[in-house]
Amino acid sequence: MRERTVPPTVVVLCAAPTASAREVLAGIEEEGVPHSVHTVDGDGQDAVTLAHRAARLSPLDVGVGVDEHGRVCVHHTKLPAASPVELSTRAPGEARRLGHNAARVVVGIPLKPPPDPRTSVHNTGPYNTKGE
Amino acid sequence: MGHIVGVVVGVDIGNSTTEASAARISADGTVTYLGSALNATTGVKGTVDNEDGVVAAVREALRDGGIPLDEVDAVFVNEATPVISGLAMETITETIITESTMIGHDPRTPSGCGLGVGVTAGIDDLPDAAPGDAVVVVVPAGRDFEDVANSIRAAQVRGVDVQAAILGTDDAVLVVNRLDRPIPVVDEVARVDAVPLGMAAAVEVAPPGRTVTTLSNAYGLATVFALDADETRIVSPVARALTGNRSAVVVRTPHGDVTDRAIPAGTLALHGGSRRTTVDVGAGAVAIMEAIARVAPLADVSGEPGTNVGGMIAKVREGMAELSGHALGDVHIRDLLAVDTTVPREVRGGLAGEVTGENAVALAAMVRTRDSGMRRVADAVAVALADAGGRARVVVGGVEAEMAVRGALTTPGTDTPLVVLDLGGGSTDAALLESSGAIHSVHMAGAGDLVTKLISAELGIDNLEVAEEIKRNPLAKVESFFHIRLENGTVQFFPEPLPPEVFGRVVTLSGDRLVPIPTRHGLDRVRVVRRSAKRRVFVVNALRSLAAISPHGNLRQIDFVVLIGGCALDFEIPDLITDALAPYGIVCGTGNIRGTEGPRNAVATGLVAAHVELSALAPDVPAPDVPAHA
Repeated sequence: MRERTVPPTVVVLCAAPTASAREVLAGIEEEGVPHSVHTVDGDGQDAVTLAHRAARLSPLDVGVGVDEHGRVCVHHTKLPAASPVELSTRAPGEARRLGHNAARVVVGIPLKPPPDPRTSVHNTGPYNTKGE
Repeated sequence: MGHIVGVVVGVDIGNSTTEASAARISADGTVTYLGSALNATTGVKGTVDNEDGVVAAVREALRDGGIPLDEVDAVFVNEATPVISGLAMETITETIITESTMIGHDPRTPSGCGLGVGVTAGIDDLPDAAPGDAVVVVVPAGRDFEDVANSIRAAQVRGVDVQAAILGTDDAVLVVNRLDRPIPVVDEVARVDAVPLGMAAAVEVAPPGRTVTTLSNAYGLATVFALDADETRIVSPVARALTGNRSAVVVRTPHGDVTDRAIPAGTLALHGGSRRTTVDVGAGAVAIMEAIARVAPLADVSGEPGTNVGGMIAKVREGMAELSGHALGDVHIRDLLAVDTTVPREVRGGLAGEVTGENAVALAAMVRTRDSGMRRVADAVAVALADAGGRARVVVGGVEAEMAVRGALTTPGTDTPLVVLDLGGGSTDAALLESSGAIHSVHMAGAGDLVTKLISAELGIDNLEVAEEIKRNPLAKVESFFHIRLENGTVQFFPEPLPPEVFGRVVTLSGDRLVPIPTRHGLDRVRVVRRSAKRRVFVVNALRSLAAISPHGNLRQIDFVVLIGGCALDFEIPDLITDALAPYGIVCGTGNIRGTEGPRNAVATGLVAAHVELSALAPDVPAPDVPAHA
């Protein structure tokens, strides 16, 4: 039996076709990383859950979830389900930026920071490696 | 006050830290060290604000030794050398692009490959282009990439020769992926609206990993734009500015140019003991330091009025006058260290936020003021200790340099002739203890603060706190959410995932924390800048100060150099200095005061040791307070 090879892509799962989804794909494509996109039956899954599912489907371990409201989440298989790489609000430009960042996680370069610290769940500043 | 039998505490008030050493002196003069302490200095050194820091250090040292405050007979405070320092930096070159004639910001994701030459036209004017016209399309920011691709494809179908494109948005890959035939596209041009239209232009994009070859070649430009020899000479700086880029745009404007202009920074007037000279700051640090050496010893420095450097020196003097509470006329710059540096600056006239390294000169100045104010501090401390239940007299002890040398001598393996190099934040101080017992001291401008400023400026991060972290800590690259690779190659794994803001970044290992460095440079570049800054300040000043106090200026006459002070704890600086001194046959290393304290506590220990020594010489004669030094 010939083994079917799965192409190395960032997997994007969308609850519905939204403008956000297109922007996410544009961000990934501009970074030069392949992607595959699927619309899943909207049973109201939130962006984080979709993103984690997507990551587990991705041979590159990176997934993006876009919920029916256009909220975008970038996730990685090795991260705890509740702690994605990044989660956005619906501010303009966010979906595109998170698409870039999903690809940047794959290629290992620094992520694009949010233009305004209030538009996404992102703490800034030094990180404590021991518990607070 | 004669020979004290009992408990004494020596206190060293430094610019950043206050250190204390508690000891018991027995009747036969034996000294037993009981405890030590290190706190932050409160307020500016030499002001009564230091009182809190001193009292805290005294109490901490006593606590460390298990001694109650009321057992203390005397507290010795160092006669601090009245020295304060200031810093300034001045760029001496600038780069200007005129008439928006080139774009060289080298975006991360250009697309297409090769060279495109045509006349610039806005994307909305494409329908007006005739078949056969060679066109370079200019696209404002905010246009959708599908629309852009469709417009270009439509023009190409009509027979328009769309050769290349210049985009405002980061969309080059998206657009090229949707074309039938790829064309070179440069994107992320922030000021795309300023690209001249209706002019001949060339766009070049090299394959990944390679650099442009035509637009970075003066003869390539000559070929593309059919230039004669004179025109080629004029346009050659543009080619030079584009070397090393993966992508580039050149627009053939009538008088467009890129120039490297020397900024007239002004001259420094150097006043020595018996000679005077002036030196142009634009000549660079080497010329400035040579001029200073010619008029040594330096008595004062002023800058040419009405120039940048004049304003700079005036500001430094004003700051120091304010700090020391002196009149401006009483402020004399007694040492100056000039360091050549390169600072990233935005190019004037750039269309895409281009940044280039401009030459700059950093200056550290050291001012000798009238008195140190320590007498007032001592009085304030005496009152505070009495209020707390103590009964100790507070005495201003000997000259700081002499105390440092005595303290350093408690390092195992040392002997005279010995030089103590105190590597502080504001100044680098050296004291020589000859076998005869004579002590000479010298103070040099330029120390830890200058290193931090150089790191901050050269990496373009403009943040002294982050620069301080870079100075003090090793670097690492965050390679995944779970591991980092340190600068020496070892890998460190984390059981908990690292946060997104450090992913892929160069970070410093600051204790428990990873501090991301806001820079596009790789780890190796940051490391080189860090070590180079330390060398250009501390190795230079180690050699300068040793030359100033060695007998006959001959470093070979010195056997032992002991490094003390905050920067002697740095993980690299002592090695850099030791390596530089090795050719002179000098044994150099970080001090180990009393065999236990490392490079800390030299002055505080010296104060105690000096008291015992002095009172042993004349046990029945009251030892006088050391008067304030002018």
